[in-house]
Amino acid sequence: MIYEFPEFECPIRQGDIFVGLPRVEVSLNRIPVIDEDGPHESMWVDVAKAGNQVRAILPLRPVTAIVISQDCDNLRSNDISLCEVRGFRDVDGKAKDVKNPKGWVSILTQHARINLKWFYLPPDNTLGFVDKMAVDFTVTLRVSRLELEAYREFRKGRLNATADEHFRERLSEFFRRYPYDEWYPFNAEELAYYQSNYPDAKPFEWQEAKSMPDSKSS
Amino acid sequence: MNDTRSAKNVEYEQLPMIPSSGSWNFSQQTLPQTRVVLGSEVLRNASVAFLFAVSSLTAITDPWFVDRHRRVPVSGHFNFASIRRRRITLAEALKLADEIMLRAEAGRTTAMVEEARRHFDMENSL
Repeated sequence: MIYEFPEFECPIRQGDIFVGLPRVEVSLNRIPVIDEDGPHESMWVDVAKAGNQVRAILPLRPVTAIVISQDCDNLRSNDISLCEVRGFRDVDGKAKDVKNPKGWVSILTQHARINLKWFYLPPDNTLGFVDKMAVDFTVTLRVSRLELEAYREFRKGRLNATADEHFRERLSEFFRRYPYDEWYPFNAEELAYYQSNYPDAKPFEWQEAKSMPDSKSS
Repeated sequence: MNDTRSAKNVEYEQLPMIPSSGSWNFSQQTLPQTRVVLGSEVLRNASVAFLFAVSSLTAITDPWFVDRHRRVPVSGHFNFASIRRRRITLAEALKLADEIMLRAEAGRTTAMVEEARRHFDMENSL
């Protein structure tokens, strides 16, 4: 498919796929901190206020992840950043009930242009992907570069040149998005339809009833 | 100091574990002894073994706190009045760690479903 399988000696590059990396989950509300008196439940605000290092019990689980750091950083930085790879149906809810090729083509083409939060990874037995997968750009990990280099036996593959080019662009598109209220240029009729889907869309000043052009003037 | 050995014999009410992401498998060459989905014993040890060193980001006094008297009127809602510190057993600490993971995953699932619901159906909207 769209993967290559580099030798162990090959340096780490953007698009390399590792399995079994640790993802830690932290809660700001309840943290099981351990000190010399034993464990206690604390809130992060208290830890932050004290300003000192603490030790805590936090859940970890092994995940598949893809390198997002640039190649120059992968050679010299202290840390390497990755995004978690998850089952496609766990990343995009629209895929939950898709069963036929037409549905998949729709999601992997049209929806891919709309939803910039994931990058599709097709199944590949050599890589260990037995189902459709996706890079979830919203879930990032960070690991030591030197330790990841020593861990290269867990690199199962990397994106080929075509996929890597696309991945690089999707990655940058995700992080350079800016939030805007997409309904701001709508006329009254368009806004009404939009609000039927998104009731929390509040009209702008120029979209208030007295100044709003009707659809005929648009 | 607690370490993995001190947790060896701790029993606690274990919550359902989240499986590893995706459908990947380790090859026999790389990890012959490990299952794809971590067992409770492994995860229990891993949770305790990883006494995560949580840093306050800076080794020096955090300017946020030094400067907070000036910042509070600006931010408005940021205060340090609520302090909670409750002694718990190691078993409770482990259970709390499980809950943190479960809550995080449930939150992601909820967000994913909600986002899918909010997206326009392009094909049927035109």
